[in-house]
Amino acid sequence: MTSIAPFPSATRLAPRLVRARAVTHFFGVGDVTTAAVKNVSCEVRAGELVLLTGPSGSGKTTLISLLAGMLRASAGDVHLLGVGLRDLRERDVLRLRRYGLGFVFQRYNLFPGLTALENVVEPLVIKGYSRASATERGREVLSLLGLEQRMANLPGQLSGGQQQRVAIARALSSRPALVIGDEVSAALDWETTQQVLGVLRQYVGTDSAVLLVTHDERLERYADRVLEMREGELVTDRRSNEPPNAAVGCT
Amino acid sequence: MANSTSTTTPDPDFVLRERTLGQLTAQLRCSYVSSFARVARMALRSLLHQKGKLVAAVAGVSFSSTLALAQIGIYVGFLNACSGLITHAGGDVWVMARGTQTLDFARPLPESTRALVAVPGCVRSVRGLLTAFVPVQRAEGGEINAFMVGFERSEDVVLPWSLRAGLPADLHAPLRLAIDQADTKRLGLGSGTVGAALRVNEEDARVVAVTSGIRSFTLSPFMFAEIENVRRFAGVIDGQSSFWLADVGDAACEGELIERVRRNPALDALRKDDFRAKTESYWVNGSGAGIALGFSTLLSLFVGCIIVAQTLYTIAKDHERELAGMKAMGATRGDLVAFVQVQAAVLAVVGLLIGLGGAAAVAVAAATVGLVIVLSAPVLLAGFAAVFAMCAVATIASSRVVLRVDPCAVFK
Repeated sequence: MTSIAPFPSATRLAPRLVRARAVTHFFGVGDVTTAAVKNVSCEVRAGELVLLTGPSGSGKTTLISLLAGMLRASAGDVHLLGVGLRDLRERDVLRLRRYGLGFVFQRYNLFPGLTALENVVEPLVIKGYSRASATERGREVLSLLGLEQRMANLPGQLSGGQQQRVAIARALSSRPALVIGDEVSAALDWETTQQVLGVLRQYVGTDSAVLLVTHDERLERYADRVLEMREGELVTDRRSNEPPNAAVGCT
Repeated sequence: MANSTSTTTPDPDFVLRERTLGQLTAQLRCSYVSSFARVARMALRSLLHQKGKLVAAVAGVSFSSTLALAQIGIYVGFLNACSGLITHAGGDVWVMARGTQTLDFARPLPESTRALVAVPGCVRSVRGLLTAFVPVQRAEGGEINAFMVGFERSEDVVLPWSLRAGLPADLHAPLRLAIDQADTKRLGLGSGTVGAALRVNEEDARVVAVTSGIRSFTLSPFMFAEIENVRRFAGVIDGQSSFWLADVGDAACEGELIERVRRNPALDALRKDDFRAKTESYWVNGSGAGIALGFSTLLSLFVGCIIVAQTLYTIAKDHERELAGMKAMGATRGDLVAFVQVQAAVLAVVGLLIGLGGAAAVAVAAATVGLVIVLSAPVLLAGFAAVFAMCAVATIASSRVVLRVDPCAVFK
């Protein structure tokens, strides 16, 4: 699946696509604060599919928000595509997200008034693609995901699995270095989940990586590494073929 | 963070940062062409997808546009009724009795004052204009006060203007006059108006011309006759006139003439535009009509604004999740605001076009009851500006929604 491969340029510069060092983040109002993420260090390298697991409230959402530059860490450093986010202007963070990251959301977040093709094309147009090249790219990726017959359908006319594939097509179409997925299998049956994970697995290459937040332990077979969080701390960082209690390098 | 002054062995992190951002900036620069153009299709399709809300919003803007255009048209119609005669009668400087507030109520000036106005070398010509309310006996009985305008013949100015039947030359004879077609019923005249006889202040007059759309703010019938005839109808002494209209060579002369006239404590002189503004102000502000029309125009725009704002707000709220996704993926604040602005602009244009048709229909209907609604180019321009401003204001609430969208919400 070479045609949905990421841009090589950005990732050649930074093989560690995202890196967190001693990151802590507090939420709170006034004097009452809660540490949602406590002193977490981790990284995602090009060529990896990494799972981020943990129970609800363990800090997974906060951690990926920090890694994606949507939140600024209260303490510690986050580097995204080799760029430190701590002192980076919001505008530059936006650039990194726009051209370096792709997102797949649990609820797909497709515009209900746009067709499957338009849901892929319009974000590309916003990213600066010409409409012609965006349309060409959108058709290409949707076809690769088996949706060539569904391009003119609105999201409401598609099944959950098809909508998720459209969302994946949208995420991959700009060839981001890092794809972040949030509970991508939550609304899918196992057969569709396998298809979706197969696509994401194929996307992982020497220049790209995928980071998935999930509760679904069955996805481990597709992963290279598993990160597990509990109560804001990273308690496990292991190869996926190692047993869950064999913690490696977690801090 | 790297220290950029380290020249021998630069921090690799700094090098990465500069190179990566350099590449991304180059890509972003070409994408900053126009948020408006980039999100237009997405915004438009989202608007069209919610047909119920779209219909409600278009109806709101159309209704508001119709009202705004009609109100502004009525207002301009009132202004024209107040000062249309001043505009058409010409004259660079108008000389009148001191204390004159409006065209409609002016004391006649003695003939001797004409010579005071005719400054040699400065004033090219002086024309008399006599206005007076004169009782007219209606054919079926009763009397009505008509606003009569007496004018002197001039090669430069044609009075009365807007003739529908007859010619100005037809008025060049004793006891002849022109009436407006809107007043024929009130004067008790039938279909054969030209040639009809009218009893004007105990004088037998004959209608020889008919004007169209010339109305007085006081709603009295408007009649035109040569100045000698009006003196006779109104019982004014020969040689007197309400105004002396001076055609002046240049601006310096205007000032000189005005100064000269004002030295006489019984006289006043104003440039034509100043007198027109004074007359309009007298009627529009003095009668409260201006305030009433202005208020109702604002009210109609306010109602339209609420409807549009409500629609845009609910569309923005409905798309909050998708917009959060866009923000997470790198959409700028400009992109998100443009999403709302495109929808507002579409509503404004569609609503205005429908509203224009509505206002034209209202104007036609109003004309049948004698109400003049002017839909001239300046009126349309003012109406369009008002409706676009209304729609722009209506985007405030929805713009706040999209600007406050939390990209982290996509992970919740």
